Amino acid sequence: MSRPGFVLEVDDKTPPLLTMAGSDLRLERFGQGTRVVYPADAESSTAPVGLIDAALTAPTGSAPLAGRLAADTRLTIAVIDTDRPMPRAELEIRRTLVEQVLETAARAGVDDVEIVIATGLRQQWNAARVTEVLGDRVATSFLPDGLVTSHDVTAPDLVTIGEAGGLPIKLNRRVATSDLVVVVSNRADAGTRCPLSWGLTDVETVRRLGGPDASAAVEDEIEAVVRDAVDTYALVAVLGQPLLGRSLRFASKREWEWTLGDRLAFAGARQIVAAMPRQGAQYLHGSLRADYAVVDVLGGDFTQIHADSLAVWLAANAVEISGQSDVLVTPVWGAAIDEGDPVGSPLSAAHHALVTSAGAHVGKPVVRDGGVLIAFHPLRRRFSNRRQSAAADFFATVLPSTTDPAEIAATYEARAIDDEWYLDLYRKQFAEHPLRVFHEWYATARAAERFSDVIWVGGDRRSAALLGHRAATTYADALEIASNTVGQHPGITVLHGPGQAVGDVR
Amino acid sequence: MPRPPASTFGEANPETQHVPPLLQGRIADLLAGKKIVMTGVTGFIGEQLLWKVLAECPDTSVGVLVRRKGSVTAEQRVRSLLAKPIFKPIVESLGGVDAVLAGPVQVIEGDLPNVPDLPRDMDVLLHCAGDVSFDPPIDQAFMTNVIGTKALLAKLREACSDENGELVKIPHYVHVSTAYTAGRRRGAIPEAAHVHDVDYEAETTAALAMKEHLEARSREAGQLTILRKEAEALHARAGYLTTSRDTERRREEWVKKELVQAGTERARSLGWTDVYTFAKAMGERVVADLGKDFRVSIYRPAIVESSLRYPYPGWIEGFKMADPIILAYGRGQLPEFPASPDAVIDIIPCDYIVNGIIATCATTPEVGSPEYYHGSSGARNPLTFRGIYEHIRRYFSAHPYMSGQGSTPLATWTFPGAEPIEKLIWAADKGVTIGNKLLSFAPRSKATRAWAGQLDKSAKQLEFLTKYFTLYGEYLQSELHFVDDCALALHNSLHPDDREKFGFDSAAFDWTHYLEEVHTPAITDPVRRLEAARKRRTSRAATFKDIKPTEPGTVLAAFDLDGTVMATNVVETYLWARLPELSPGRRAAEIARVAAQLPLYLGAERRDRGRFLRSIYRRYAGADLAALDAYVDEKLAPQILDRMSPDAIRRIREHRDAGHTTILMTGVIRPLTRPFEGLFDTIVAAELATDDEGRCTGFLSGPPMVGESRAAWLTHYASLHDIDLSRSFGYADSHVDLPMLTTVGNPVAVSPDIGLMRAAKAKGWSIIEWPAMSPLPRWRMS
Repeated sequence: MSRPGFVLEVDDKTPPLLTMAGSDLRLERFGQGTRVVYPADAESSTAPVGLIDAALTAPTGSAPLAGRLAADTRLTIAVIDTDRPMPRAELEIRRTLVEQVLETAARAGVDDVEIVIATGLRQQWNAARVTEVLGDRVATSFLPDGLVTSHDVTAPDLVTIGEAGGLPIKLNRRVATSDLVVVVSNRADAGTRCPLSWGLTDVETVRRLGGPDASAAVEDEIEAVVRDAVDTYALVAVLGQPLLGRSLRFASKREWEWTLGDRLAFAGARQIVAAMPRQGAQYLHGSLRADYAVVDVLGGDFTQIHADSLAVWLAANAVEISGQSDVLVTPVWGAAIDEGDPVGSPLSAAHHALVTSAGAHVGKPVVRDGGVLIAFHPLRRRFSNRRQSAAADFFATVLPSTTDPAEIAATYEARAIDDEWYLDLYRKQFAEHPLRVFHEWYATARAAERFSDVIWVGGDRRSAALLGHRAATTYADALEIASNTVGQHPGITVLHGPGQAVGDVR
Repeated sequence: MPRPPASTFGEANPETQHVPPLLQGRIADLLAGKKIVMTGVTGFIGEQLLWKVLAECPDTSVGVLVRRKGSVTAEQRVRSLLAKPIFKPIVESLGGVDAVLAGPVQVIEGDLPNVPDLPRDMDVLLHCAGDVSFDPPIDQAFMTNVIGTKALLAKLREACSDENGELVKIPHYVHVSTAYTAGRRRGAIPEAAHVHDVDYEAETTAALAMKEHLEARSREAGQLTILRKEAEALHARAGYLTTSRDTERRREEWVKKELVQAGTERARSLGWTDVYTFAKAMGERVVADLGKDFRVSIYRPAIVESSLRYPYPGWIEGFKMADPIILAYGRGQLPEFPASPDAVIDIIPCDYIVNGIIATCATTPEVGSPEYYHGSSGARNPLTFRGIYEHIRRYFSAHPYMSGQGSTPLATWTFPGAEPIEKLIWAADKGVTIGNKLLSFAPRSKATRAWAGQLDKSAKQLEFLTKYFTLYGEYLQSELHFVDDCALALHNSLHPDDREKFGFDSAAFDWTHYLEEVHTPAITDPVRRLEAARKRRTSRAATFKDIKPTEPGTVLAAFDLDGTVMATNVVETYLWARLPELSPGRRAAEIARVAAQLPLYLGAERRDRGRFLRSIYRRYAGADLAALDAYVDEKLAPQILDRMSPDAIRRIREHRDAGHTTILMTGVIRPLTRPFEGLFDTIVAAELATDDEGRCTGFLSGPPMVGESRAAWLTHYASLHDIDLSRSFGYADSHVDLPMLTTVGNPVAVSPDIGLMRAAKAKGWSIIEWPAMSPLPRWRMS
């Protein structure tokens, strides 16, 4: 068990603390009395053979997997990729899980096995990604026959499995026609979304799940239809905090425990990015991998495991905080928001700050309603032509005219999701589905409503204005702006580290 | 109070002094009932002459000989002349333009030297038409001034003769010449015929023959080769047609330049400053010869500038000799001036000239002895260059030409003489040439374009100065003055009631008032307004317009690939495409070979893009085309897409949304365009030829689509698909693409090279930047 997280109260002996903004690492001095949330320590992973065995042989709310397999079972392994920890995992636990399931199936003599990647609106997997995540062995035996496929939300062959609210719900054909679906996933955040309905249904259904007028009731209804339609066996690995590679290892540590090597590494990282803003940043942050300790592996009934895994993850990662504060400060690290891009796009940054960071909590938000969010990110206007073409257009053409989710959904959404170029990129070039940027924005805009101000430290002024936020040159200026609404002596909470710091407010 | 230089000669002896015919009453009365036929009323002086006669001599009728201009008839031209504000009160009082044309003004359509029959009821023929340019080609100068004048005089004789050719009445012929017919003479120039023995007939024949001769010489192989090579240096990459068009333009220019040169040299060899004054002097001699039995007056104005009082202070049409210098000084473009500070610039207000000419029309000179008058200020009211400089400087100090950011400090002239300035111009000219040479090697960038823009600006300024100084250089050192005693005598004979409206005593006005309050504001204010208007105009997009939806399939948008839509070049794409097939060892070898060949490729690219592409594509020999396709789809597509410009993608998609046909025209090979298939309706790319096994032969299956082939392709495509090219769009980045851009109505230069930037600026096309914004560094593929 790793050292648990804690809340540091800044006093006169506290050293400057590490914050991240895009690809920029810096030491920031916080005012006395500021509360800094340190998540549990990151540790390197160990092969969790015992845990996996237990998940397969002694599951919760289900018979052991071997018992549910017969030689004529039509088996599908659904690898969930709708949510995944960033930076990407160095050692994929999902590979071990898939391999174990395949081994169990082989022992049972199951012939008809396919792997479906439940990507939802995210990028589909190309061959390189399949090999990287699922390993050579799986790739060489499944890829050539086309037995590993990514779910396509726009595929013409989706199967209608029922109705919710009078509208049909379509599911991935292979999944819908399988006798048993083993759902393999990671749990690395406090998300509650059902990975099946978000990851394996059609675009119209996903549209209802994430639209501006989405409600928990509709979501529950759709979820119920999907769960009834398929026989599932869930296999979830609960992960700890990311342990960064050697060059950035210091970011996973507490500042006062930094060794001389850590200090040098920090100084070096800063110099490299300063000297070569693009190549240096790309080298350090662009294609980073992190190691995640496997806290537990759960197996069994899908609904129950989904709930249990959340509880386990919170138990391992959440940090107890006493009382809400007026201001929440969050770093936005490029490597944690956009894959392959060391800085990240302004839309991803906003989503990360407002939804992923500020939105993660256990019941009660860390900051009070009407509080202020201060985030660190340059909001540089850069998008990948291939992966984020829809987001680039959204930022350049939609946001200048309106930021209102309902209006955007009514005016722009339908056209974007039928856009041939976007769909071409989605199907052939492994881009995200155009709907995703809309959903991210709805969530971002909804989350922003709680705050009286969102202030970007070091952020591009025009980008911040487009998002409906504000920009400040320094942290001190940001506090100055915030003082208009929260006064001169606000209670401040800072989220720390490259991973997910989730506050459990009591 | 007499002033030097006139006063230095002392009082003249009134007994022996020639006295011109004087006025015997009021001018309106003297001209009443008479008919004056005028030439040149659409010109600067002629317009005011017509105005003055109509305004002040109500009982005089006028015939105006006006040339047809294209499809505009003489009458239409006169109508638009009479519509000008100064004529408004007259036209209104006479009851409209139709009444004017039916009454006092008769329009005679005709031209010099093809003069039509002149009205027989004419009493005075006033000839003030002529070239205004100082450097016309020699044939043109003689055609107008000698042959034209001869023809006019012949028709005048005809109109005043009976059918036997006997004169039935003696007309008064008034000829407007120029004071500078004195040529390179120095000192006091009397109001009399210049002494010289040049044979104008022989000179005219030679001038016309010179035209034939130069036309023939310009078509000789040697000369054409030189011109073609000049054209190729600039346009070879754009194609043969573009080059040949430019060659022909250069030939015509060359002929003109040589004719001008021939004129100047001939004039100088005979003692004149330029062909303008030379031909005018010949014209005077023609008048003296052919008008032996007429009454003849020759009026010689000096430098005519805006009016002092009538029709209103500062009335002027167009720019006259001194005005470009005044403007250039105000703009801060003239750091120094090569004039002698004490040389006289003989300026005379236009209304003084008009009054003098009309007074001359009202006189009755002796038959057979022409009268000469100088309309000039230099003898009795001289203005030196130093003087005009001080006035202009004072004016611009009080009224800066530009304020704020665009303003420049006013230069202080020390008048160092011509030589240092010539040296300076020579050095600056060399600097521009060297700068241009360096620029042609500079990498394409925004900074390079800004640099080129500045260089072009200085080159233009330099060109203006060089031209001005060669044209007017002689006048800036002139040491002559025009005696105007006859003109003064004529002025003094004005009826006292006419003095106010018809006075023309050149000593009677003050330069401070004229230059600082009348003339300089009159020429700078309209230019200021014009420039303000132009500034407003250029701030709008010219050809990069907002896209409006159209009927699908009626409009196309053609895009170039390399450098426009995507930041890359064919060498780089070749390496991407070819290297993965090879083993590591051969990879390194291939890179080394390409690097070694690079100078050759760059040389080929500078000369002929087609040849360059072929030499690159030769390297594809042996590559498997199908494997290339697959490799592009799998590995290169992300890289290619990431290196596209997001603005370009957005623009292409806007075109598609608007129903336009989008076309990609590129010299890169077909497989590399596969990632764009979703963006373009049609892709025109280079096709690699393959053998039976699908391996590339290293040759193309057709010529690469560059330069004019693109224009031809677009034209044919448009005619096949009923596309309106004039509403279509084109986007390209390089000079090679000029023909392609010229075919469409809305051409846009995208991050252009210098050649295209210059062409785009000249043609008023939009120039935009589409930076490629790849989040990935060049070498990463992911």
